[in-house]
Amino acid sequence: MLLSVQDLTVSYRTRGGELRAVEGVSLDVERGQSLGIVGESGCGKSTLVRALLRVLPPNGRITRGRILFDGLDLAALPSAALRRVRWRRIALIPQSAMNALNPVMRIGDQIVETIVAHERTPRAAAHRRAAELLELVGVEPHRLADYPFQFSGGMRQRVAIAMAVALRPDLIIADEPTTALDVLVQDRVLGLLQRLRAELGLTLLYITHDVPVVSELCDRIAVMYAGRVVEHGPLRAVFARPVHPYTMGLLQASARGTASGPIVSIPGTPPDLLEPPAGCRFTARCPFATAMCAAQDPALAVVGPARSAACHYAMDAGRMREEMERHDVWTAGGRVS
Amino acid sequence: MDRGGTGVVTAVFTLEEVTKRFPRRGGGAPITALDRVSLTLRPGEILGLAGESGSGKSTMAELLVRLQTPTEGRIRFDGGDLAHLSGETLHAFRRRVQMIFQDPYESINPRFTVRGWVEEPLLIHRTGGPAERLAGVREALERAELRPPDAFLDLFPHHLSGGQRQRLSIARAIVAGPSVLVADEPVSMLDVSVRGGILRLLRALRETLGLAIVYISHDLSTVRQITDRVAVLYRGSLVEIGPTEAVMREPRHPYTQALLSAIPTLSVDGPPRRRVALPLEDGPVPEDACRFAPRCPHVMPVCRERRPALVEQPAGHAAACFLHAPDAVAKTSAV
Repeated sequence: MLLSVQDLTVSYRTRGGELRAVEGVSLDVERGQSLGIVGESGCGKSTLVRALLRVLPPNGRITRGRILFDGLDLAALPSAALRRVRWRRIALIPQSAMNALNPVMRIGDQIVETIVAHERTPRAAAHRRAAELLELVGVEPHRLADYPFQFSGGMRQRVAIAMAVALRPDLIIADEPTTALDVLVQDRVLGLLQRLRAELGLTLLYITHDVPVVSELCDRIAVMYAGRVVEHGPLRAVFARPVHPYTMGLLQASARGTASGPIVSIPGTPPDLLEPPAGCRFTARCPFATAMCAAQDPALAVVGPARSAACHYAMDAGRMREEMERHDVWTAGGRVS
Repeated sequence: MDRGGTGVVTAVFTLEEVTKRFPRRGGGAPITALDRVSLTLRPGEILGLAGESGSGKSTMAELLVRLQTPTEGRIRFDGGDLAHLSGETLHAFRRRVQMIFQDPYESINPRFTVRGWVEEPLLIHRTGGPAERLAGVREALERAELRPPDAFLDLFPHHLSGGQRQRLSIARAIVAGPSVLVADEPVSMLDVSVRGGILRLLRALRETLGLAIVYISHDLSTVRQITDRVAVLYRGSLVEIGPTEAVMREPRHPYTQALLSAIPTLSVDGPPRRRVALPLEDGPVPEDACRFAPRCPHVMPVCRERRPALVEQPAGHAAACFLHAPDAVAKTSAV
């Protein structure tokens, strides 16, 4: 196992008290695999990324759990040792490359700096590698001399990808890398990531709110809700037979419908994490919730081959999926999203 | 209400060869945000305006609500020229055409209560006494599905979720009894799980209030879910327009085809999605050429020499492309 996140909890100190943005999250990523982490705003996916890279804001800290990366516990690693792991072994493709690139430094120099800062490589060799990297991501090598502002959004994102793969890291974390891009540009970047995965055998942790994007890029999927992983498993199996009602709703709401078809939404809003409910955090929005759901917090339990879900009624998933076929199940009783 | 087919079409808005140019910062040739666009908005219809950034769709929204006026061409509202409105007639126009913005956080003044925010348009338009206005606010909240209205009246925006804020914007937009809503990316900043609720609401308001809605979005999947017709813009030009399902099922313009093929799907079985890899957008295109010619996979010599007109094909479906109308002349007519 290349990455094994075990029972990770990340808390922020806030004026309202302690906020557990990520609570008891466990995830595994094998070498060469691609795991998509999907969820909506406030689900904890960005905090998870920050915790993995140990770049939490000053009021945030890892309060429990381990992040085992190739045997090293990143959660406990001193910062000097961490610097040897970050970027060289774990690289990040950020949401906005503009924020990641130095605006007053030529692209080529930035890639060269990245390489020589982490490897004993002569500058000339690093420069040649930078040109190869641009070619790899479909940017003409002569643009090494250009500054970030001279690139379009899609081109900058390609440069960010080139920098992420520059040191051949073991793991690449992509944090919503196409969210800010236009449809056609997004499509090219997704195509590029698919190709790089195949050519370089990348191990990818792909964070996004956009479920369809995951379907083209990932082998496995983890669905997060209100700080927890609520479902985790092979992409095909989860898409075909979701077990958690939130996953069912998210998939329905993400489907590309037609004018005559139903428009699905999930009524209500996620709970306030300063005062999380006692039971299942999806109770208030779940069409199948019972008294038990409000009282008892379901644990993530095995529900199939390499699959887990956190729902008291996981055994009943077949019946729930059937009822979901009637899309008005979400709005029954006049509930409004 | 006439939704096409009988020849004469009544229209709420009619755009006739509308061009909008903006001066370039630091001088130089002006930027053409919209280039000779002609189309109509029919009573009671939901018309989608789809395009990527730089397509001119937001400029279109600003022209429709008269935050901007065309550089050339004309926009008619209920038969009258928008550019000629002033004073009382402009005031009346502003009551009848309302806008909903993309960002439900930035577009609402945080110091207003829900009641104050929804009531303000009634004060601006000097409608009714206090009791009447409160009744109007309650009704608008009810229609926007902020129920029960009394539970929301005294809340501030920070008490509301993103979806509830967008409902608040909609309540404000409908409170003074408009006939048209211009919604600029109204769900793109909302979580996927709540988008559908706003889309259903817009559809419901069209039915109950008989509103015509201009739905502007870069996201063709939501366009497909709620619009009757869709207009596709590319770099300021209208490249295709038609009944939404017809355009989605059989896109005619190569740009529309590329846009549709670029949408990831949930499907995990079957062959992988075919990618139409277009060359990247490059520099300026000559005035008398198709805007899309430099990137078009089907480009022909004529595309670089003449500008294709929007030519209507069966059932109100039209595309500006020489592939479909080899003898397209450069004079367009409203579709």
